[in-house]
Amino acid sequence: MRRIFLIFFVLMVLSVILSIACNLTPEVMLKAINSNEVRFAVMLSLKSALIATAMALVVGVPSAYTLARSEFLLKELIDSLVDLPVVLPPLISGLGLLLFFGDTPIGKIISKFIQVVFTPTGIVVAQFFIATPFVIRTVRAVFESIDPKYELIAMSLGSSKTEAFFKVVLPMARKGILAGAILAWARCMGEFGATLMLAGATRMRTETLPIAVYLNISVGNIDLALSIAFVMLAIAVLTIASIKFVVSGGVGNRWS
Amino acid sequence: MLEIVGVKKKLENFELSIDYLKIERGEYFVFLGLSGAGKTTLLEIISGFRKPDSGKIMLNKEDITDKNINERKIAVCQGYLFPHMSVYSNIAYGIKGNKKEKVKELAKMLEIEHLLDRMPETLSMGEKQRVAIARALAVNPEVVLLDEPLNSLDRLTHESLMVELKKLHEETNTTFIHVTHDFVEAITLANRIAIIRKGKIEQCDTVENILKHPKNEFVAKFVGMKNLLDGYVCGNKVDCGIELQINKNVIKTNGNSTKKVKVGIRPEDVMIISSKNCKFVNYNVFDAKVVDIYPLTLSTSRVVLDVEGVELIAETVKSKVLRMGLKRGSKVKICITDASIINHS
Repeated sequence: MRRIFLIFFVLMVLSVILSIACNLTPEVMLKAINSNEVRFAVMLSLKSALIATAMALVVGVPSAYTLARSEFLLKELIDSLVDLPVVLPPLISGLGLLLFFGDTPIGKIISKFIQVVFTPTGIVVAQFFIATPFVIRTVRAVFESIDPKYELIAMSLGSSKTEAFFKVVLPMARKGILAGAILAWARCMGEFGATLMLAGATRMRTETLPIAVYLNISVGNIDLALSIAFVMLAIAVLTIASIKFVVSGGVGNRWS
Repeated sequence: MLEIVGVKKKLENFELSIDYLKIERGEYFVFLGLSGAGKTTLLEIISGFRKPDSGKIMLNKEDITDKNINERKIAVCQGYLFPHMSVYSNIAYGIKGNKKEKVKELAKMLEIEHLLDRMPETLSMGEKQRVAIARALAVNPEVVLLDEPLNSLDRLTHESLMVELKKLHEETNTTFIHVTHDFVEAITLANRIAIIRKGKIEQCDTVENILKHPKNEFVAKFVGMKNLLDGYVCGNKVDCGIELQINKNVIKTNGNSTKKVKVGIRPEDVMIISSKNCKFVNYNVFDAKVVDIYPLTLSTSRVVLDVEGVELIAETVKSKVLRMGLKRGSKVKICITDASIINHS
């Protein structure tokens, strides 16, 4: 009996995949691949997601370590704030970012040095804002699963706290950080709402893959939209496969 | 020389409190106590993993209480091998200078040369402990802290590693501070033992003194004194159901002949003798009846005796049980070769 529910949902997922795939012909797909717009969107999405993920890691890993290992004033509150972008609708996050960079004194000062609003930089900022909490959550859980005794023992063998972190904790958390990075990258690739608000939807300028789907649907170019959707579907499948591969020990088995 | 001065640390159920304890340089010192007695916490305070609420830890007259862990010259030997490093890299972790030679030397000492290329996950528990010991010794520490290093090892590995620890200690001439709940481990390895209970040191002395003169009932029981009898001091004898002469007839009575005492007799000091030989001994000889016999180890047996209505436990070699044909109900003579007055209550 219970299985019926599972079968129902699996069928629903499969229907979504098939609805996209079956509406595509190889010719349409080929045409899409050769179109400048699709190529631009793929490259922009890849680049911005890569930069945003790298930034999310730089900020997220030390933050996760602090949350996992230290006790400090207002920790609960800070913890909730970090999680907020996960719960908040991306559109609202984007609106907030837009107002911050466009309308506040600090945002205006920043904008003097680097233009964020309605630029490709805005895409990276929006993706970073949405993806960082994912990195923090995943990596924090990994740090918490590592017994602090490892670091303490490394320190008793002469390492400083920083040395112990880089030589012992970080390599031990490697798999979890990689999984967190893949998850964040996938989140960046699919990011739409915040990007739309902060970077806008300008064809061939701030046109990431999801924005491209949106723009093409809005002008009735269903074929191109479907082709891009198919590319994104493939990316999603690859993401799940690579996370499973990393977590099951496929990468760096000797580290487990 | 390590000194623990007035260290206090509030724990969940009790307070760890050490007034003063000095551990000499090069000593093998064992903290012995049941689980949850505060031994590991004390070790963590010495290593700097935890800060005490008050008090000082002094190493060679220098106060190291607030010193960073990596500047203390105190190495902690616990399992926790770094799982992403080979055995070689684990041992080499803290070595400054010629890593290769030092690792080789230690690996030879601990007989783990063949394991150097292996990853920790492929090692047995005993091998892991050997690597952990090598890793701690590799940094030439002043003090090595060993937290239950022989725990969860099979019997054979436990015994061989115990012997090797003793040998290593002699060879390296480093101060070893070892924490365990295993009494046999403690008496085999230690120069001195501190018996710790609910955060307080019950007794700290040489192995011999602790075995012969346990300070109180808890220590007596903990160090394997199976026979604890209530008694009275009567002149130069003790009456605890059976009348005993203790310590070559010298008993401190404080002039009070009705002083209540606790008498402790180690099971190996209850000697079962054949009636023919009893003429060689002329004191503390009693008639007894065997109530029960059961094997203790492969070569020893425990014999429960009824001595004039008092139950005494003796331990003897199995061959003697066979030779004398001891069985339940056998009538024998026993000689109590040593006993201690534990506390005056």
